Amino acid sequence: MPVFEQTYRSFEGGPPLRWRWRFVAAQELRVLAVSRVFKFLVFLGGLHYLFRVLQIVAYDIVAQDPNNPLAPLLRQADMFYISGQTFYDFINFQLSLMFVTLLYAGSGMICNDIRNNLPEIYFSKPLRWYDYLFGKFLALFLVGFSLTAVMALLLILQHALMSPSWKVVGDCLNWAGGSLGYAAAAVVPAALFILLCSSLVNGQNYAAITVIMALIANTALAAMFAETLRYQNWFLFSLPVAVGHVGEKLFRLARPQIALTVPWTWSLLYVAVFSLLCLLWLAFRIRKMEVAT
Amino acid sequence: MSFVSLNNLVVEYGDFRALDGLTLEIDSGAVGLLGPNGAGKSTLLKTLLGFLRPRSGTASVMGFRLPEQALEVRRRMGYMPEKEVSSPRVSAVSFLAYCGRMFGMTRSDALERAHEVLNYVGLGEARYRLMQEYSTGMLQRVKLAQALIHDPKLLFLDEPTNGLDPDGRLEMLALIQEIVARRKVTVLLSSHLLPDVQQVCQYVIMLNRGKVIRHGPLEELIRPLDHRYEIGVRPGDEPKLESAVSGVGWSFHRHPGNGYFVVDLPEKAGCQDLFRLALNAGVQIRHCVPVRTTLESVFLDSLEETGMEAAHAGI
Repeated sequence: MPVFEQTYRSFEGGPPLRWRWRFVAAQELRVLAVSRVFKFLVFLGGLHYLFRVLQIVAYDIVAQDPNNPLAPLLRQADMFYISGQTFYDFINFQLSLMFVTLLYAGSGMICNDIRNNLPEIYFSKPLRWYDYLFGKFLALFLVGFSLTAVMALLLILQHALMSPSWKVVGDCLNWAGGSLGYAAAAVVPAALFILLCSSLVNGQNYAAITVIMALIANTALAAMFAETLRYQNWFLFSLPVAVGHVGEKLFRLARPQIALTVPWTWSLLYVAVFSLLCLLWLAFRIRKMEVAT
Repeated sequence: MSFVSLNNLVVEYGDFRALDGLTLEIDSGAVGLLGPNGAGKSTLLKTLLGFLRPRSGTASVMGFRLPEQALEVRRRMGYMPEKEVSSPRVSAVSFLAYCGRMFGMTRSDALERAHEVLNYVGLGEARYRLMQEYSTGMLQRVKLAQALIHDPKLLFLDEPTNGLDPDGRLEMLALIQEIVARRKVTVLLSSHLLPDVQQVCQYVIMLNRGKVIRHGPLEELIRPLDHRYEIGVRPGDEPKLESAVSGVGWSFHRHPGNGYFVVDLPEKAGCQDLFRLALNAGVQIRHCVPVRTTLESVFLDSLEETGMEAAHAGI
């Protein structure tokens, strides 16, 4: 029997579509969702979240109940106390996990496409380079944001709902803003840099190694400058330190751990410039895939 | 209106001129783009997709100017690239549905069409498997299917039989013929395999070093030669035929492949003169067909005219 015994229907074409990047992002998330490693990493993030849920329940319900025999014990234990530091610590811990997850999810996003000659297929369809770039970035951003800011917001909401006092609502709003800002300051440069490395090298493992090496080199150089020049503010050039500095200021921590004397806006500016440079380089690389000459 | 119209098109890679002043009109049907490696076939297709910007000249596809209206062109045509394409971690259905979404189909419509088109190209139940498990032939079918997902009226096929076994190659060519005949799709087939083009196309464009060296309908290019016949005789009669043909002064040579005589008759002589000569010489003719020019000979002649040897052309 000929292979073409059954034919296919005619298609008159749909209306011109905007926001094609959403298909790119959805496809990337669909591919990630079936990966066992990815599920495991998200599960780890979920475990930490569950632990914090229990902490909030313990502090807001058990510790506030005068009839509960555990209440005095919980009130005395510092680890159950809920403050801005709690949510900062939560995001801080999640950032490491977010970085590993983004590294796993993003290091092959572009180089695997290039290795499998997919850009030629995609760009032969009505998809522009910026749709492709934004779709990939959005997929990574959503993953990173879900692991950090979204979980933090849920915890803050839980705390606001369970707390016996209304006074905490104002603090919760501040913490929510801090969570969004801190997570964005960490996720955006991480996602862009991982995508950039993925577009520059020709293998997922190489891309991941490049990201890690660059991060180590960045921090080592910042430390070297700070030590040799005896000026602690050189630590600002370490991207993790700059992001942490922004986070501490956004959460208005009582006892900040990063000892920089420069304003936090400098750190924010450094993160923004770094992200912008990554974006420009990435845009140049991906545009070259669509329009070679 | 022509499907593709080129006017003095020049495309360069740095200092290298890949297309050198192409002027062409391509109408409907199956059109073969022939040329040795590096002739500019793929460059032409990529220019028509808007991947490459012309240095000078103009190009339009279905009335849309390139590269300004490349997106309109891409909405209306399908492209099957030369290189092997795979999205290893997804099934062919999922991959095609994703491609369909880019054309503005709803999710359910894209899925339905993905099934239809994959059935059409003969992928059957394998369409549910991950693409990393596919053979080269199956990946070729997926490449063709993704080009058909939106029912284009114009299809660019770049070396569609690359890497296929003989059976797979014949099936692919039959499929392309079917697309042209039944779906009324205009196909621009780029290949360096002359038999592929000869089997599928009605019109041939020969490229070399970025220039068109010959183009025209296939029937015209490979017309029968008026006075040249291929003759096979009873074993043992060969010397008698040789002396008889030499005696009347007709030129002849032995075909290096099949050993038949190829005899050039003078203008006034006909096939019956050849049989009369053989009868008088006591030669029994067992095979006699007029010789046609092959696409290969036309192509090699054209290459010679442009001063390029076949060996250098990679044929």
